[in-house]
Amino acid sequence: MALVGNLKDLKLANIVQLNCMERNEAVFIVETRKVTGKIYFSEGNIAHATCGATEGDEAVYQILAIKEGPFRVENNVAPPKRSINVPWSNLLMEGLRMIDEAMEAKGEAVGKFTKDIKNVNGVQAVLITSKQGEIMTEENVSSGKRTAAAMAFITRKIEKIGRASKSGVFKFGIVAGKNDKKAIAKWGDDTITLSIDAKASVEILEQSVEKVDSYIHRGGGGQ
Amino acid sequence: MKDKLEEINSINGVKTSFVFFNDGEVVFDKLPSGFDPDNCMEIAKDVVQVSAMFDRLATPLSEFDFKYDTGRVIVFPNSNFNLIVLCLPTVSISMLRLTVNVALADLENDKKFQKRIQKIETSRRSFLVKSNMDAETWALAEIVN
Repeated sequence: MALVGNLKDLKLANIVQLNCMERNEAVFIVETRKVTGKIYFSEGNIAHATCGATEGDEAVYQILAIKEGPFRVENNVAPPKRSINVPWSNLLMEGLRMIDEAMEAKGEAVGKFTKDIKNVNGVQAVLITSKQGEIMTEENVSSGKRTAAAMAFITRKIEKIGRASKSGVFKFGIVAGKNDKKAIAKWGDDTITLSIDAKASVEILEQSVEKVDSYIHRGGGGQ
Repeated sequence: MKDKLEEINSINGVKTSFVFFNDGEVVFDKLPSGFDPDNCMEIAKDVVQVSAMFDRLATPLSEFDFKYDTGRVIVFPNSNFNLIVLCLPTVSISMLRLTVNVALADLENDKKFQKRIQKIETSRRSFLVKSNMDAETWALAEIVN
């Protein structure tokens, strides 16, 4: 019987360890909205992996970075080819090291982006939250935990509206209240929320958040 | 009301528009091909939940504008109904706002429409219930409660 679950509940590292130690001949398959990842186990090691168009070691690293998504492990499936010759424990250690580095880079980038964006004319408050509603950074935000959960909720709904209306991937939003406005944007899986006043230029803010990825790729200074 | 929606739909870059009441009724003039009333219901419920969540944060909204890579969704929320416009990214926003403002003003003076609204007792909050969302989204809603 196939093992099924979700990566948010069971870590891939544990699944890899179990299948390699038990010398299972099996395939692990995870499917997200963006990509399908497959890891083939054979003779106590990882024999082959694919993630979208990528294969080999790099595919394993990409699959290790997937935080959530439904998966299944099908037993008695032989690898179609051998693309990996590194011991499974080395692959896991390298993959987890890369994830730690990426998280550290994201943390630094969040700090630099927040510092820059709060200096933009009209920006009153900055909040960056994870998909699960955890606060990554907050500046001048009242009721932070509650607001963070609300913004994570709202972002999920905005993305759902985009899918139902066949509008594609959410980029940037403005919600206008009677006295203030909020600008909302995605940064990977995270949400950026800016409270802005009448002095803020929506065009400048939109351009600023469009460049947000450059804070990671270039080590900051996306302006 | 459908004639107002027809005017909005005639603006260059507008795919469709519809009105959603808090009791669940959707009113539309015509829908684009491949788009059915169930899509409208899905969108409408999520839009009302977004409005309700902002109500909880004590920041009631007068407009929201979500930009996507191939489309744009603009919503004009009122206490008992929402006017939702689905557009292309290239829509003329100034023309749209002008037409919507005229349509909303006309609806204010439309006795039949006002009578319809007065009958509605359901609030936006009633859409923020567990049965309307998945477990993870509900967990977030509970924190805000």
